[in-house]
Amino acid sequence: MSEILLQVLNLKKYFPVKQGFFIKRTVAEVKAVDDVSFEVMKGKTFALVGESGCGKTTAARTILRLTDPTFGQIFFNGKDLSKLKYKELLPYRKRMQIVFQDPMGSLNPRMTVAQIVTEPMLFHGIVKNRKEAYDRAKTLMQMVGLRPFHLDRYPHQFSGGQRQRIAIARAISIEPDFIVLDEPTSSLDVSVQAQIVNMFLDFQDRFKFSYLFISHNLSLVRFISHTVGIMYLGRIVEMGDTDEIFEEPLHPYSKALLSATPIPDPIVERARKRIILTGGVPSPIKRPDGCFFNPRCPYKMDICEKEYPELRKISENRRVACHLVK
Amino acid sequence: MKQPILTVKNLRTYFYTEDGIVKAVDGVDFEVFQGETLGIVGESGCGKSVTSLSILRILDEKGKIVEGSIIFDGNDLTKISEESMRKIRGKDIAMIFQEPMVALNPVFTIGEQIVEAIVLHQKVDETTAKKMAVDLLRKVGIPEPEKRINEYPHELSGGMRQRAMIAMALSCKPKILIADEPTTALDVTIQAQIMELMKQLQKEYGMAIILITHDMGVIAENADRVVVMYAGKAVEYTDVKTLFNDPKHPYTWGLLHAIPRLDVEQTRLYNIPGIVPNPLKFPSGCKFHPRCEFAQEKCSLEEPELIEVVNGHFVRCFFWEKVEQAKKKEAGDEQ
Repeated sequence: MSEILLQVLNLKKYFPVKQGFFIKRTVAEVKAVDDVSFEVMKGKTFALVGESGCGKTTAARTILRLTDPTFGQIFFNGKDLSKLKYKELLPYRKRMQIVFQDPMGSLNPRMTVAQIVTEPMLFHGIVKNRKEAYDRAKTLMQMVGLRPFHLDRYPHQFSGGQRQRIAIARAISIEPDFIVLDEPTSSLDVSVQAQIVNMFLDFQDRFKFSYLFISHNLSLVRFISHTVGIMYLGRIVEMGDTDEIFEEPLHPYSKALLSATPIPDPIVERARKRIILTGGVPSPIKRPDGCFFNPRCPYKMDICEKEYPELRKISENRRVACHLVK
Repeated sequence: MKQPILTVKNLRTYFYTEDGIVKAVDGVDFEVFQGETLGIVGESGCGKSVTSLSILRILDEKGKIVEGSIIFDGNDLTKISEESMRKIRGKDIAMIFQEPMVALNPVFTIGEQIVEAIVLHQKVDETTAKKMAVDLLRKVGIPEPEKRINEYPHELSGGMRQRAMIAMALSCKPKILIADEPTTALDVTIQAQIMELMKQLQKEYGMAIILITHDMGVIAENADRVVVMYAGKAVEYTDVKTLFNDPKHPYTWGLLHAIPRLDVEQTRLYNIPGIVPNPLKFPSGCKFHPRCEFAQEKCSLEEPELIEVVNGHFVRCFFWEKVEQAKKKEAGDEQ
C-alpha cells in the first residue's frame, strides 16, 4: 500500500464575472473547479482528464497556489497548504514543480538555458554557489537528453521538444517530490511526445516523483497514469484505477469520451460501436440543472434534471457520480 | 478498373525564401478515387498541407510547383490558366481548414459567405441561394438554421463553425473535399461528431475526401488508403489496413509504435530518436536515415525511390525487408 503525498479536499475555485461601467458588479460566477477531491500517491501518477474548459488546469494551478482556492484544503504530506502565507509556503514550493504546455511561454526568452535551469536551485538554496549550480545544470542537461554546451544558448534556438526538455530540467533541478505536468506534450509531434513521455516514466522510476498529469489525450492518460479522475464542467464524474476505468467505464460521459477517441488500428477501430454525443459542452456560467451532463446524456432519466448525483464509492477503486450507477 | 479522379505525380513544391530553398513537397505521388477517403499523414513540416495547397494552387507568392503533375478531369492543374483554376476551386474541389475562425471572414455572416459561394458557381439568384444555404446548414446539423444564417462566425462555437465551413465547402457539391486537420482544434467528443458528419455526407454526395492529419487514430478510423509523408516526400503509400498491420517503411513502423493506445496496457513507447530535420538543411540521401535504426551507409549517400514492393504497396526505403525481420522478432517476443 503506498502512501498519500497530496490530498485535495473539496477544492473550489470560482471566478467572478463582472459587469458594469463605473460600478463593477459580480453578476455571475464561473465555477471552474467545483468541489473536487482526490489523492496523489507517492511515486505514482494521478491524471485529471477532460475536454477544454472542464477545470483541469485551474485545479492544478490552485493546488500549487499559483492562484488561491475559493474553498477547500490541499494537504501536502499532511500539511494544509490552502491558507499558508507566501513565506510559509516557500519550503513547500521547493518540493512542488510544474511543466507547462507551451515551453516557449514558460521559458524567459532573455535568459540563457543556464540561468533558467540554475535559478530555482539558487533561489531555494539547494546549491552553495553559482559554480556548483552550473555543474549540476550540466548533469541535468544530460539527464534530459541535451548537451552541456546547450546551457549557453537561448530558448528560441531550440525546437519545441528541446524546449520542453529544458522546462523539465528546470522542474527536476531542485529534486521535488511532486510535479504537475500540464499537457506537457500536446504541442509536440508524436515521435517527440514518445521521447518525452518515456523520460517522465524513467524519472519516476529513478526519483520516485509523484505526478499530477493534466491532459485531454485519453490514450496518453492510459499509458502514463495509475489513477485517473474524469472531469466535466468543474467536477469529477468518475475516478479510480486507470486500467479499470479504461476497461469498463461506468459514467456515460466517460463512456462517450473513450468511445470518441480513435484507436490507431483500422480493424479494431471499425469494429467498435461508437457513442456520438449530441451538442457541445454547456457554458460554465450557466450549467444545466441537476446533473451537468444530462442534456447530452443518452441514458437521461427524470431525476437527472433535478438532482446532481453525488460522487459515490461503488467499489474498492471506483467512484462514480451518476444516478444510473448504484 | 476504376479510374482515379485525381492523380498526383512526382509533385514538387519549393518555397524560395531569403534563407534558401525550402523543399516543402519533394516527391509525392497518389491517386484519389471517387467516393473514397485518401489520408495524408505525417508530423509537422512534412509537407502534407503544402500538398493540398498545391492541388488548389493557393500557395503564397514564394511557393512554386517546380515539377510534377496534378491530373484532374483530364487537365493538369499545374498547367491550366488561373481563370480555369478559379472555376474548379470551391466548385469541383473544395477545402476545409483546421481553424475555421481564420478561414471564415469575420465581418460577413455565415449566410452571406455561403450564398456568395453558391452564386459564384451556380446559376441561381440570391433568394434561391439563401434557401439552399439554410438547407445546407440544416444538413450539417446546425440547429435553427434560419436564425444561425444571420450570425457572424464569432457567435458560433468551434464545432458549429467547422460545420458551417463544411456547409460552405459542400455548397457546390464538390467532387473532392480536401480536409486539412479538420478536427485538430476540436474536443474529442466534437471531433467524433464532425468525422461522423463528414462520413455521412460523403456517402450522400459520393465525393472523395483527402484527409490531412497528424493523428494516426483519425486515419485508422476514416481513411481507405494512406500516404505517409516525411520531410516532403511520400515514404509509404498503401491501403489503410495494410499500413497499420504491415508497415514497411521504418518511419511508419516507428510512428505506429510511438503512439499510446487507448485499448491496451503498454509499458513503454518506441523512441524514434532525434527530431524532424530543418527543411533548409535536409540530410543527404534518405531524409530519414539519421533517425533510422535500420540505416546503412548507402542510406546517407543515395536517395531511395518510391517503389512498389508488393502489389499496391509503395515504400521509399532500400532496406524495408529489415523492418520485416524486426516485426518477426517482435511477434516472437510477444509469444
